[in-house]
Amino acid sequence: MKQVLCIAIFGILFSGCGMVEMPSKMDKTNENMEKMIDNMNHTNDGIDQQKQLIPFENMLKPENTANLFPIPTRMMPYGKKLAEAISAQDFVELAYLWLKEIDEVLPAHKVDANGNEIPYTQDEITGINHDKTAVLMALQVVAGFLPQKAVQEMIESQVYNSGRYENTVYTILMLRVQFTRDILLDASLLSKPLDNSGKVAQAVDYNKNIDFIAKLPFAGKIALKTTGFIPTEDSPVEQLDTGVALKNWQRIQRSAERDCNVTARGAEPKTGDAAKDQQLHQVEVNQYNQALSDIHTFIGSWSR
Amino acid sequence: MKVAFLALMTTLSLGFSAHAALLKLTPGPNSNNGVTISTGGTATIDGKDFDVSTVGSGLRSKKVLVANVKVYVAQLLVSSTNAFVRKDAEALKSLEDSQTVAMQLTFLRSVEADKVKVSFRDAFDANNVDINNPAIKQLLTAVEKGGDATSGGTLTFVANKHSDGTETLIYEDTAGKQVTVKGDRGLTHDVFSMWLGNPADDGIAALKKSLLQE
Repeated sequence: MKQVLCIAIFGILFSGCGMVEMPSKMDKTNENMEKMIDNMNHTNDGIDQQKQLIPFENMLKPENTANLFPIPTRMMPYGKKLAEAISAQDFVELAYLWLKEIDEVLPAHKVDANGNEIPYTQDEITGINHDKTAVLMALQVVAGFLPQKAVQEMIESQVYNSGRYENTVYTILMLRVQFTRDILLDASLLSKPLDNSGKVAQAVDYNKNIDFIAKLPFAGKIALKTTGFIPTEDSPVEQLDTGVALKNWQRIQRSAERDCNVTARGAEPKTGDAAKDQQLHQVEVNQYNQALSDIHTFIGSWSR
Repeated sequence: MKVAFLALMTTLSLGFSAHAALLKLTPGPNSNNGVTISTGGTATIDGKDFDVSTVGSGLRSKKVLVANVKVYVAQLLVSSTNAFVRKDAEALKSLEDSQTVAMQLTFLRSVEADKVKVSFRDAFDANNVDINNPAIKQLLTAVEKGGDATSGGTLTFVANKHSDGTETLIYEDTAGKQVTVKGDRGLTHDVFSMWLGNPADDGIAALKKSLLQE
């Protein structure tokens, strides 16, 4: 009994001492937690920066810009990564800077013995135009792959709120239309039959981005106007043709109805498990029907 | 040995005759992107030769982002040069006054067969040509089955009108394989609308302009 009492007293004393020390320990723990969160934030910032920096550096490396035509294939994976990582504000500023570079920056002329500038050679002009094309295409790739949320964010901050980079946003929207129209649709999905529901759905998703831009109340201001190529007349210029959205919807509809035979596809074995095949077929049918319904709705929206 | 040699020679000559070019062009002094532009040629249809003269040529390019990508050089040939009208709205209709009309496309880059088919189909759509018309359907199937249009290769279309009002189109793919499509009056108009009708895109519009130039 005495032993039990001693243990109990020691226990109370011990725990009592602990209770006295608890607040300071808690403070210390909180402090450590805050430090850890702060460090984690720094790490996350670092990771975010890395996510932007790696594709940014790679996109314009000579080996990735050597062959730009007909499609800048080597630039595209990095451009997509950058589009996913960069903030709307950072991209607007980057676009402003690069467009300025295209229009205004030229390498220094060589000079002769008298100090007079020597005109660029044809090879130098080809090189200059190629570099400008690469920068412009890099912007097109990123603008094309930007998440829709980022596009809406830049419209909100720069167009609706009369931001410093309002005109740059008009250009970015044109670059986004060009990339989606020429690369993602014309040169890719729509260049071949849309023969499964995934292709139809993807074409619909891409054209939704064009449709959104074509219906903006300020669509008349959306354009690309560059001046820095040699000669200046070769500088890419394009005004948004809002009719492209409807034209694409009609093309997608025609191809989907002609080439995507979901019934016939349902009869083709896939996994070897008939029940699973039936489920997969139903998923495809639903995806196809949803895509066609979207197409009809969007086509109808242009006749109102 | 002699018999075997003769048999081999016979087989070879038969092979060649089976692949005789649908359209033999007479080279002219000019070229477009390395393709010699003809002054005329001879189309061979059902063993008969029909003389045609070159009335136009041009580059078909496709705008991709900031560049115009070169696809093929087209040459248009007709049997009645005087009847050909070099006006945007009248050129296609004026083909009705030529018994034989031909178009040869020399590809500057390789294009996959289904891409060629889709681009032709887009051109038909732009001109409200019914792609379910049996003759058009047969042509599109031939285009698809004809394989890729390889760089340097040619696709040739020769249309011929008959006294009974029917029309024949012979399509030759880049491998030299020919497919004959029989159709009603208007087949030539429908097929050649791909280049002389409503342009499906800016690249075709530019090509049409070149084809109509003197």
